[in-house]
Amino acid sequence: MRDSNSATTSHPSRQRPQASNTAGFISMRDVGKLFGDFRALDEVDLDIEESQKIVICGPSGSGKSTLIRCINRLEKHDEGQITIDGVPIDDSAAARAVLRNNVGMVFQQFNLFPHLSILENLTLGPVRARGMAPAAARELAEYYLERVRIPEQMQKYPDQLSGGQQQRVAIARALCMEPKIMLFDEPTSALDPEMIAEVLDVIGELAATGMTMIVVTHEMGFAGHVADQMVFMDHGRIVEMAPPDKFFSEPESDRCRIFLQQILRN
Amino acid sequence: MRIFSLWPLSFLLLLGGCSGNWGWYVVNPATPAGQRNLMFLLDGLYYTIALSVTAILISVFVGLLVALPGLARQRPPRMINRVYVELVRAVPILVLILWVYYGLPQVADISISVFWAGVLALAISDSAFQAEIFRAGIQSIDRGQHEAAHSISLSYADKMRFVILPQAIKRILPALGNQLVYMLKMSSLVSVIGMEELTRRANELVVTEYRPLEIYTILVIEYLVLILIVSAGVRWLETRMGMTDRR
Repeated sequence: MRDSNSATTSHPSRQRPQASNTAGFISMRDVGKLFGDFRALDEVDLDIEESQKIVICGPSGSGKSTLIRCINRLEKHDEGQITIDGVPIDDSAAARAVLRNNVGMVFQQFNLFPHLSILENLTLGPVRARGMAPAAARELAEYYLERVRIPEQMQKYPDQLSGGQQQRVAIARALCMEPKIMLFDEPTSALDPEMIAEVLDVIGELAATGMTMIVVTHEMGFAGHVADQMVFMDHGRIVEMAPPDKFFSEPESDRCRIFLQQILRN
Repeated sequence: MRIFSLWPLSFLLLLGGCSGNWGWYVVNPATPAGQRNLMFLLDGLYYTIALSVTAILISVFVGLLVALPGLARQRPPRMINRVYVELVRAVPILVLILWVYYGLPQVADISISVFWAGVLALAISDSAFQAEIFRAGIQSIDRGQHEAAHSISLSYADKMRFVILPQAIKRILPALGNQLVYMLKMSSLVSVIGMEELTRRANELVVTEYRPLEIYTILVIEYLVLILIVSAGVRWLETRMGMTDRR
């Protein structure tokens, strides 16, 4: 970490003052990530403003998931710097506080806690990590369960719900931490086709509230509606970044055009 | 094959005491002397149970503490776990009991009662196995559970307490039950330093009554009943805990 940071600052065009002037709410500078010899992220530069919606797509293994997992420190980046609200994301207490107060995540496999009821799944974070009173946390949970349209299921356990319902509960669980940024890691890829729409609707409504969102998905119809910027990744690099209308109608790179042809044909 | 099928029958015949080699009178509850002897033997139950339960509680706690560094990504904490487990596993329980009772007071300049020497030796010895059980149980929990806990900013302690351990303990319950049964049996070894538990009581009675066959048979039955009850209890607990996520 330290070594890579000093390597970055020695690069003349990447001085820190410049970064703080132009950096977005979330800012990634020359971010690299290695798994052994495999380069999962390669010199990724990305700035995201508050309430912006970014949709990331690309072939499997292109680094999409790794990118958003580095933002909330599920993976530690090996090179470059990530900042959220100006705070560098590392192992420090300041970084943990920024993540706790700002970033929520929804996983492909839902990852609900199977031994806890829906209500307990939702209140665990607010009570234990945010120090909220149980009664207040319960109210918060009820509010967000209504928002994701899971009424009257609070006492049930995750395996009593359908996949679509589970994913909406997972979204509510993340929202109960009242984040400013939501990360979605292929939120509909593990769902049966008939349940995809209900989850995408909820995410779409969330987008309309001004939440900052980074979504990894292959649902291009949804992406076109929601995204401010489309990002195409391949081999750990950001190959193309453009607003959806331009991205879909006139992609600049061949790789992106081929990818879109393949994915839109289905 | 035929001979084996006759075993239960011949066992009953032996217990019936028809043969001149048997002398069930030593533990015949119908006579005052037999009743006294029987109560003397059963009295050992208290210390057998007290030893085993105290030791298992300590060993579960220590086992968990030793298991956690074994799950770390860094090498040094994992080495601590390995060294502890390998060292403790390599010492026979009987040797550890003798060492703790006769050796530890000299080394540490403390006095230690027979009971606590027994508890300590049993707990240390078992904790290495508990550590391995916990490590396997915790490792069997899906990565996604850790990631979800991280995503709602739970501290390491909260993640373990509310998310990982409740699920892991449910999975390792059969193994924990095994260890309790094992502990009940191994507590008989503490008789060598004079703990008045079931085995010691039987030995003492044999010395005064010269009836090893009957008295040790009673001892076997005492352990058998005790352990069958514990097994049933563990199985009941398993089904009860299994219900919360298998509806």
